[in-house]
Amino acid sequence: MAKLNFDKVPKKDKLDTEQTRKSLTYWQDVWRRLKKNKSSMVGLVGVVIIVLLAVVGPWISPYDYSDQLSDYSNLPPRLDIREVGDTTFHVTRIYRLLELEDGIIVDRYNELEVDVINKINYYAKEIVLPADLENTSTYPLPATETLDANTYYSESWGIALTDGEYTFGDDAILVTYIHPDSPLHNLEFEGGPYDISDAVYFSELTTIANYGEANAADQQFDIDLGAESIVEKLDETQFIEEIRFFEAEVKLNYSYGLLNDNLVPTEFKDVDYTIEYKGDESLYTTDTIANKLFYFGSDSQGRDILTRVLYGARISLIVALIATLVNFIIGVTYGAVAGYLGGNWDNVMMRIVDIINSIPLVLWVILLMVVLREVVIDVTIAGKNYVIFRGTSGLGTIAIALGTVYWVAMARLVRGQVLGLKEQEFVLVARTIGVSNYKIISRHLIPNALGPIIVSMAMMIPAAVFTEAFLSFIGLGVSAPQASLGTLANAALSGFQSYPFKLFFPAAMIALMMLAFNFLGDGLRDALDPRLRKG
Amino acid sequence: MKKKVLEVKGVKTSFFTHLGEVQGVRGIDFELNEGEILGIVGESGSGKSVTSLSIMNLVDHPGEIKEGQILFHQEDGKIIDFTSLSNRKMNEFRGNEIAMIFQDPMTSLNPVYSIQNQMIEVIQRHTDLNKEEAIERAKSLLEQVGIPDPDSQITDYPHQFSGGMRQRALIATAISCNPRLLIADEPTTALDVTIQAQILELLKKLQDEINMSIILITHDLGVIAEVSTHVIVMYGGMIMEKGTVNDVFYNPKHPYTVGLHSSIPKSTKKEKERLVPIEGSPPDLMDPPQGCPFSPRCPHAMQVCLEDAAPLFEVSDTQKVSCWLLHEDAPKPDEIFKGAK
Amino acid sequence: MAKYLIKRVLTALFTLLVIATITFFLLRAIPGGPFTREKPLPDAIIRALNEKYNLDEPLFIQYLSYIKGLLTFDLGPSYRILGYTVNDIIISGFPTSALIGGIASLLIVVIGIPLGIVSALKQNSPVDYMVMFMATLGVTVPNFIIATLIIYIFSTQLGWLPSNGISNPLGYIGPVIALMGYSLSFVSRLTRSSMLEVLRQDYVRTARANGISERKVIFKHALKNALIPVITYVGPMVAAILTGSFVVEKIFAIPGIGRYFVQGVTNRDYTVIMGMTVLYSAFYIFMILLVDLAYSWIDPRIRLEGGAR
Repeated sequence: MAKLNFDKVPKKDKLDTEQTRKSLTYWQDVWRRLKKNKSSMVGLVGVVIIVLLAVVGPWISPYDYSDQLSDYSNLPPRLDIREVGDTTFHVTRIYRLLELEDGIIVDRYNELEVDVINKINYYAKEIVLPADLENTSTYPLPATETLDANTYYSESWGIALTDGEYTFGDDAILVTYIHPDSPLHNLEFEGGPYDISDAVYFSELTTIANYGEANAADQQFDIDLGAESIVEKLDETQFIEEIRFFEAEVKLNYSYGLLNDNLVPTEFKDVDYTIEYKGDESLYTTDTIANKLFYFGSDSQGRDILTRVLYGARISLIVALIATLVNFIIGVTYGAVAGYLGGNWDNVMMRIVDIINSIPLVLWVILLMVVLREVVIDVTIAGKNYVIFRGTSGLGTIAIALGTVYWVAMARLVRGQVLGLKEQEFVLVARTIGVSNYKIISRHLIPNALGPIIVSMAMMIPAAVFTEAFLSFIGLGVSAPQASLGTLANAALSGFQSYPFKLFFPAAMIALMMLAFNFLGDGLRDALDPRLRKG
Repeated sequence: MKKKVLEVKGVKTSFFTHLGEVQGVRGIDFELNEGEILGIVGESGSGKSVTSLSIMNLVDHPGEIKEGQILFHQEDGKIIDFTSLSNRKMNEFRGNEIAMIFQDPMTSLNPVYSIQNQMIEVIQRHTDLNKEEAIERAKSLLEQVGIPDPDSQITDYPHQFSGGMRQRALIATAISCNPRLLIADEPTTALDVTIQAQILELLKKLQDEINMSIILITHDLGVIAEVSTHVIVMYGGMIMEKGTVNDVFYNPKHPYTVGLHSSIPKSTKKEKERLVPIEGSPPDLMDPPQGCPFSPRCPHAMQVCLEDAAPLFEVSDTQKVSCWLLHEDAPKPDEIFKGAK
Repeated sequence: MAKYLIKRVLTALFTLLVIATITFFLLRAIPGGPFTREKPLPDAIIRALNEKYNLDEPLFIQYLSYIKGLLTFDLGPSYRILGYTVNDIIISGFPTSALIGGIASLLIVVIGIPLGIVSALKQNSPVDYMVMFMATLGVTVPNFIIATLIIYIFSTQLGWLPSNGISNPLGYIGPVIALMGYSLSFVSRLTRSSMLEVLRQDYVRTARANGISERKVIFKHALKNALIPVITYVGPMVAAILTGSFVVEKIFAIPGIGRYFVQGVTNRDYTVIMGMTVLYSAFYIFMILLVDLAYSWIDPRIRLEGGAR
């Protein structure tokens, strides 16, 4: 057995083994805990990247968000190509030929009318009208107006179609139909021919026509070029419509199968067209290549989707930031005052909060939009005029609307915190030495409630992005040519089945933003309030 | 020779957190006989609560009993190793032969069920009594622990009880199946001082009435002195000193025990006495000192203390101390050995 | 108890009246009316229409007659959907919305709560990570994206589901999933965190120390406590889901009432907006009342509150 050493150890040696932890301030500790949480760091990195992209992206992009290259509308991120002879073409959804050289689009459109195009034969997918046309009952005609009473009823769809309903105007193809249960059905119609454009709302109608298949928007474009259409009724359920484009000498054969999917002849189900070019004929798509003009594709006006998504992210972030800021300022002040004053003040102020809480958000947004429509706030700095707020753009309005609705939750939270804090000794001490109410609230109460406030604000940003997307989606958002992510998603919805990429990129951006902010918010909550720590 | 109730042999319990292994208990041995009240004392983080949870086999994830045996001696002499039992099998002992009460009576009763509901659940779990019989049993138990009007109060909900009453109800539940062993983890810490004394008195009385053994876990030496027959002093997940109450209180041999004594005020002493705090802070159980856990704070630390943990030196039949000072070659500082015989 | 209920119902009716009043005057404060068109109608027609619907009377008289109608459950005629009263609209659309919403709510409770429990019990296991990942996705992806993705993948690409309408029972699947997404995720997250919180409570440890079986510890002692915050969320959620979703009903072309509110607002169809607001608020208040009753049933600490006063 080894000799045991019983020498006394001097004090300083022992202290080495004693643990020495650096003392951290509250915020250092929060940061340390946040760093340890993997998902919140992923969120933080994501937020930084998204913010950078949103701020810098639109600047470095060769396109502006409103630049329109209408010759190149609705191009997907990957182009289907066909080889005809030794030339490569991409055929757009509106049956334009784009010639490609080494993957780069060389527009030969103007030459087409001379000799390039001979013929595109196309059998469109059926236009699928919504199965349930209850919708139509919501697009009523004012009782005083009249309509051609010559309608017929299509059993298979349960809808009534007015005869000769295809009107090719400047704005759209109008497809009118009236629900059999609609009171209109029983109205006496006088006079005629009826001017449909007065009675029916274009946008809503085209939306209906677009539900199943998204061709109406394209046709608008085509018809503008100058085309004539011959509609031929085959039977009670099918129309054949032939559209002749004068300039391009392209013949399109559409088949409107107004039947259920399984009743449509298979040959109409797939797009099927041929290209004849200088005697060569191409039947099939041979390859796909990346779209080097628009990496994320282009929208119906020929605008770059990548730029618009980045720009949309910027708009969404601005809205979220303003809303969060407004929410912070009003909510914290209101809540702190209510909580600090207490008693009847608190009661009255909280009832007001309850009432505001009961007003539907959509109603509130519309009210504000209408009220703020005329308002323009601008400042002149160094001779230059900067518009801070313009009611018509919808951007400021929606931010203010969100901010002024969401502060209610913040006010409740802060009030609760303040109610608890104001009974604590340090507040009592401050009172006894005569500190003013303003200082007690701003120096003692709010800083101590800062943790929950920050968590609530962090969660507020994704909530605002979410709500903004929703409001834009239902058409109450930012107005054109500006676009938030929600507006982009909404615009993409009508042509969704034909152009899924138009929805995919804004949708992915929304989801990524939401994920990043939520992860960060969750992490902040865990870091700021160790009591709520998971597991 | 008294009958044994419990033998704890070389138990090590660790918590495997994502930051690393926290060694809550680092190898402890002790035994407990029938009718004894064993006090386990130590500051927070010393491993006393982990010890009690290990005995109950209730160490929660991510904790785990790594080594050792917990041998429970049944009435009929059968010996069962708790560490080898499945949770389901263990449940037959918990609340039945071995029961436990916790620190905070305010939160230890389920707020959404009545006292009666929670008591008869335990009674019916371990006996064949039907509901009426179980209620009767519960009422007599409440009476036994000093609830004034059990007939009407048994249907009350926990929030209608005061802290002291709740602890009584919890004790009543714990003793409902006449356990051989009751573990009380800081049973009085959360209570008012006057209630504390009543609860301790109650525990002592019950121990006498139903002849159970008690392990009383506390950081309060006063509580130990009042009710215990035997004492274990824990530090850094290890046993520093164990013995009878007299041994540990009047003849402490471990510098930590001595330090504990001089750091609490004594109203009995006549002369004015300065309280002597123990310098430093408890060891980091994630990375405990290699040798004696107390060595970094020990005023008498020697080179050997930093290298190896001391074995248990026998001071007398009843008293054992884990300190190198007890080694025959070690110096004998006066502060500790002045009272030695 | 009866006294408490009567008091609560009276408060609810009063709240409803306040909401109706605010909405009424707020609406009239918005410029434009139900007959404002982009292409203005002739004045004579507008005048005739205003007269027909009594919109030419003083505002306060209109308010009184509206409240009078409200008391007799007559929500008035729609100004834009001709020949229909708001009652008609609700009667024709609400059953559809409520059916889809009811299925969704039921599934949220039946799937969300067990998922949360399993996730909490198997904390940090692959099951837990999986559930939490799905839940995070569900909370972060807006329902219009979920809805369009369902249509794109299951209707357009795979052809398993009809892309719109509910004439086919399969048509319910898409809208129900789109409607559930957010709340299902939220409920399972909430159940999980609440369950984890409760499992750490002292009374759970006491139950275990008393030898109560694990099954009973979880389902008797933990679950009842863990459900309290879940119920708080589920109550108002059910009200919102049953009264239809504009987005989901629009995308799936469902003849429910969800879209009437948004349409009504854009069309200034006063009575429709009022009707939808009152319907939703009534549901909301009713659900809050149910939640409070559920509280007092679950948690004895709340039992006597209000009733004693």
